[in-house]
Amino acid sequence: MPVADESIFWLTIAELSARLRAKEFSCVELTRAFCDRLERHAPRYNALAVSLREDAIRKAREVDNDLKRGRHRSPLHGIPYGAKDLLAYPNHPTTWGAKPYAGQVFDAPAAVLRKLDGAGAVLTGKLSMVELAGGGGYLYPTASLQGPGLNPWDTAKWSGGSSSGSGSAVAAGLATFAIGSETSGSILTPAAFCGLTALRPTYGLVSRAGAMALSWTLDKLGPMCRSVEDCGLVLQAISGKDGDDPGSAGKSYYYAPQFTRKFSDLRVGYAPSDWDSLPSSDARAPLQTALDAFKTMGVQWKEVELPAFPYGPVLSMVLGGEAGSVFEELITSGKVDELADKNQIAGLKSYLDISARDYLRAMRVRSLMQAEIRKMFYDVDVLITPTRSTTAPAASEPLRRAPAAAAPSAPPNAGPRGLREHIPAMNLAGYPALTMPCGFAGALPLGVSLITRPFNENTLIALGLSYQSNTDWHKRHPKV
Amino acid sequence: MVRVNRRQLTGALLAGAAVPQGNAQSPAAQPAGDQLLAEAKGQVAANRATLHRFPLPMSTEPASAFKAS
Repeated sequence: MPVADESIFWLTIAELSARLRAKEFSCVELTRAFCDRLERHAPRYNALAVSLREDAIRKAREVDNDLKRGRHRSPLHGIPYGAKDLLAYPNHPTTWGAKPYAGQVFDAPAAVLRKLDGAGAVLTGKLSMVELAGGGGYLYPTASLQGPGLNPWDTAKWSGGSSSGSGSAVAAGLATFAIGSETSGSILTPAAFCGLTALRPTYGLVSRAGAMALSWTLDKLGPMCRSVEDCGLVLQAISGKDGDDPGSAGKSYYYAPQFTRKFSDLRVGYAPSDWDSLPSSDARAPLQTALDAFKTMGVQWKEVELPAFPYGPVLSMVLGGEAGSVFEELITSGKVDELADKNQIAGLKSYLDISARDYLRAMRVRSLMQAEIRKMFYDVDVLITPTRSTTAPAASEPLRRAPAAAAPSAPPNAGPRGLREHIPAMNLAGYPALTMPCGFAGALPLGVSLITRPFNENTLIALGLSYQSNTDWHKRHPKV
Repeated sequence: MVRVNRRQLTGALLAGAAVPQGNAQSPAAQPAGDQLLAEAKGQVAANRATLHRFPLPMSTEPASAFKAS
């Protein structure tokens, strides 16, 4: 039976899995349909780095054989997905979005892809990204080997970075979910700009073995999906101890939101200034409505603000010190000049100016920062804040931000601190975050983020499930 | 990591790689590389100065073996 119904491209993992098990279509048919769609539409968004059709069909045949025998490996069994092109995959180029690495081929898959393979998920393609995950500080969305990530909601807009292709592909129904990476905002930003639900896990929860290193103490991998439930299911499959990742926390995640504390016991922190000072009046109303929706859940509310720290400079110094070491050979050989974005080239070269003293000072300030953020969570269990204060910017314009951050962070403007700098602050602390679509400003999606203590992802998931059971923003999709 | 020769790479790219579409041209009128490098180095220096202004007790150890707290 062929896959004829276009609605399958927008189903969640659980919905698609149920239809596979009901034998409405085979996994091979489903995989072919997704591969066709990916290859046909992804170039419109510059979302595809490499199609893995042949390998995907081979995997789908294995899944069909399993299903015939009544074997169901996991909720992800037979589900087509895509992965950011910084994850190693054998026998095909893994470009890291950058020309100097266009010919790079690894002989083993990244740990996260191996785990998903074991769970029966079907990898259909590697998805584009900002070159080197934007580690040098890019100024233009064009900073990618595949071209600027274009937003399926409006192709004149950027899809966000650095997991650009992952954002576009899931938003356009070209993959049921994708794996992205975040050093400082690279999962949350494209998810918010493209209207996805995505989870940045606690640092160390998901192995980065086989993933491009940008900053060893900041890099994280996580799911970019269509629903909170999907994020939980994917995180369960990819989390866990890995001796091949020195940053591995040795912990696993089990999808069990039903066992979290009662909402009435949860203390949710928010900063009124985050919501009052949004630059766009179009964005203010939908984000305020999202905040009000959480206020009806019966949780306790408390006004908070981030401790006073120079988050941007600390993040830039830590990232720069580590990226300068990771890419030292690229920089000193001159091959760095092959990158697409001149700001990125200059940023990477400037990292060689960072001394051991500079780096250690930043890491010492980071220690103090972590301690203060830990104290902040004595009084609250969860923080809520707009994921980004604006919708996606134009794809053809400079991003107008300071260099030396993997993704844009909050501008250093005056006024109350609030939680505006949650992206650099919580990435430096290693805390998990969940972003969900919560409305539109014009035709473009907005996102709201929940943040919690390390290894407390189920609390985010429980609150997110409740929110998505009462709203339908996550079910909306662009016309493709 | 293994390397591929040019023929293998061409085959792989032709088989499945995406071609950039639309808006993919290089940004026009970017400042020269030397100017950008000077600005980037200036940013590193500014970050260094900011961190040196931040009070740091002598006993503070770096988050060198980083763990989420």
